[in-house]
Amino acid sequence: MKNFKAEVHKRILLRRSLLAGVIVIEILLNVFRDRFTNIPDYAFGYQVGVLIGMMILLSVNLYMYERSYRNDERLKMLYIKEHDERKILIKSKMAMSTLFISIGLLGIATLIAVYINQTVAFTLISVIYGMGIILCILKVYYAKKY
Amino acid sequence: MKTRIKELRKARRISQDELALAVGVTRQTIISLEKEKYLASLPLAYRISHYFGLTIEEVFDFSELEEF
Repeated sequence: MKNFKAEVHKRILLRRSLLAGVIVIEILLNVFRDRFTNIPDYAFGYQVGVLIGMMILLSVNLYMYERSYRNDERLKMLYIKEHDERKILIKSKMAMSTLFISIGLLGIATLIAVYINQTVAFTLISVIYGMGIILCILKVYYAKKY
Repeated sequence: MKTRIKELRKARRISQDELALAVGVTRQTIISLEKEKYLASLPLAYRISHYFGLTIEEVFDFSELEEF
């Protein structure tokens, strides 16, 4: 439990740094917005939306970890929640299924996009190949690790 | 896999929450184990058996395990 408490402390520090970084980027984007005249409004709006979303998620996450860090009982419950083997199995199965379904759907989208827009089709193909390469690298990594 | 977890827990008047906390899992895992929907890992099976003061074979039924 001491190791987990130290781990939670590291997560708190990381999230505080990330939150500070996100806030700084958000402020800079707004302050220097006039300089980016060539960026379309929707792209700027999307970035701001992503940053605000990250700020909210990081704040909620940070609050949860700070609460658990200060209370041993909550820390124990957090440890159990994160290390529950059934939950880990569910996440693992979910990730694998999502990966293969995503690759399948991207493949179907590519088959359709080829007849509509070349740029979109090549982007989708690149994404499929990229995912395939990452999958192979990770397979080798975990095979060696375990 | 069949288990005697529910039977042993009720005999000792222990709630699912108490058992879950004692062996370091969530209540949902205990529920899945009792419904025989989930197969416990070796460390978890050991912790549960040890909690009841029994051997793994006395808590988990391995008779239906496939032979290789």
